[in-house]
Amino acid sequence: MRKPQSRRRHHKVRYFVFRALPESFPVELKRSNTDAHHMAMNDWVKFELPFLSRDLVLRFGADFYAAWLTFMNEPISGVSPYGQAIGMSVQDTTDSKLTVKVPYAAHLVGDPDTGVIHGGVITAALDNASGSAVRVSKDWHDGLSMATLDIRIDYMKPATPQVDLLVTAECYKRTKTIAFVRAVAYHESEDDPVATSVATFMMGTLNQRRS
Amino acid sequence: MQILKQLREEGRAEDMQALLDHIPYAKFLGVQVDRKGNEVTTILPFDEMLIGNTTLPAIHGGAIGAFLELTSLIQLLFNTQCESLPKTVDVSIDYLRSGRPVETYGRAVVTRQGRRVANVRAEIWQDEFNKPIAASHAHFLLTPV
Repeated sequence: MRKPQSRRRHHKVRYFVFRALPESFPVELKRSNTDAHHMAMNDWVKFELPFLSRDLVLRFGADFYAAWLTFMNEPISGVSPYGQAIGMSVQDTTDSKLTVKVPYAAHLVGDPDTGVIHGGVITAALDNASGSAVRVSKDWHDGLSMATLDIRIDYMKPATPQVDLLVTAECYKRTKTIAFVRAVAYHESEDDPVATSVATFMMGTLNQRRS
Repeated sequence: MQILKQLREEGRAEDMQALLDHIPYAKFLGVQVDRKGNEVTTILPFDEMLIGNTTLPAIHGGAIGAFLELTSLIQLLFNTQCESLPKTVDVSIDYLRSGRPVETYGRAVVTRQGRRVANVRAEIWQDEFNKPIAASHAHFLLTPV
């Protein structure tokens, strides 16, 4: 029996797409520590997938691959609902240090007279960055879970309206059960802080869905 | 526009709900005020957006911090007349229990009020007042009228 012509043509299109694709794509994959206390941090690990890209295109087509790539590179899926609500995203990660960015937005304003963002937004960003700093520190494993014990925040000056806020947190000491983190919120330089904080976290607490 | 001055002129200096309605972040969180006599209780209705830990699920520490700060601020403005909104100097928050996905209530006490600085303690709870989920101690910088 004669093969339908359309099918062969379809194969040709597929091959053309395959040829047009580069050999590998930088794809950011999410680390699978979904059970930790602070879901807000999207810690992504860069991966090169030389085989998967071509393979996925051949098997499922270019459309699927494009959708898959978008899904994998979607940074918002690693942020907690509250983190998403205030527009928080992870900027930079090094060993035990981490930077989070909160873009200026109208709904975050705490003083309508001046347009300065509310202290609670800074609290949220500092708390989140501090938690994430523990999770990127050495010896962290995905089985661990974590809860904030306390946080002390000092506000040095009001945040400047219309300017994005950056928070850098550093986990400077970790024991078996407790992590100590300091964090700075600033606009341009860490030397000119908007707020600083010291927080302690407890690790290894049960993290199971309540009945 | 000076919001506190405007409310004072309208004779609504003690109407904390009106003040909250003018603070975009308070509106965004959905914070409400319940006043019985001279007792002010703040209410944070639960919203999916407030979740920080989707596994438990638990309310985000930042949302709890923000609610504590707003509770302190409301109590302070209820007690005193200010020219502009008090500025937070520092906050120290103790997380005592994880916040379950239900309505949260807050109460604050102004422990000491000077001319320029006020000390405020706040506690928030969910089912029982005797089982607070977080407590805070804050200093505010005031601008007296």
